[in-house]
Amino acid sequence: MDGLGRVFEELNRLKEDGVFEEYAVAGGIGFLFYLEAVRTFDLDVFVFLPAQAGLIISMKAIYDALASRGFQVQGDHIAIHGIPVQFFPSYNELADEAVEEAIQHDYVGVSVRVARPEHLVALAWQTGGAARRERAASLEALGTMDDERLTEIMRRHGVTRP
Amino acid sequence: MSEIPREKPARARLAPEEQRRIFEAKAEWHRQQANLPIKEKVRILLELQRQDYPILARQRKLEWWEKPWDIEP
Repeated sequence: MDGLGRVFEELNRLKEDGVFEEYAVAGGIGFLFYLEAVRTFDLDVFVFLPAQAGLIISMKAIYDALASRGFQVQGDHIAIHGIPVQFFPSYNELADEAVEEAIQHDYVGVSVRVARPEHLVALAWQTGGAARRERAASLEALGTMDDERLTEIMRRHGVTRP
Repeated sequence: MSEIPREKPARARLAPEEQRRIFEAKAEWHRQQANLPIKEKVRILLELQRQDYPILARQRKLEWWEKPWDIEP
């Protein structure tokens, strides 16, 4: 089992332990499941955190759970089995939908939830940035996505291409 | 003073069907790369990280996490 598979195992364990309610791999590693390899240095994970008191949510539960397993928190990233992982509490309705409708993939025998390609593309156009837009355009050019679904997602969430 | 319009030299062009074939071959290569097993794509990703890291490090100060993953592909 390589480091990435072990990270996916940790994500599943965190969910089983109730540290977060659901997750989906997004960002560059999410795109890797549908697109040719493009360089990235970290793994982005969208999560639904359990309800918390107050308006400001905290990532402490995730950090504490991983620190208790010996993983090092540094800034906004946590090194899990040698791979820098960044957790994002789902931040809008498009991200919510990406987590809810994520696809279960098999990574060398480990089950992992990855955002659908249509959500990855919509999120990339919504967030912007040259690298994200390039990945989104490359995935669209492949012609392997459900174009109707993508159009519907972008329309519903008011996402436009620049 | 107005410029004297220069005549554009005639450029040799590929036949449209040959042009189309080349672009289609390139698109097919990208499709094949996208369809590689995920494990193979991770191996390529690790290679890209190793290749790009010294170039990026020369251009700017990198964050601690912007480095090749020390994992086996």
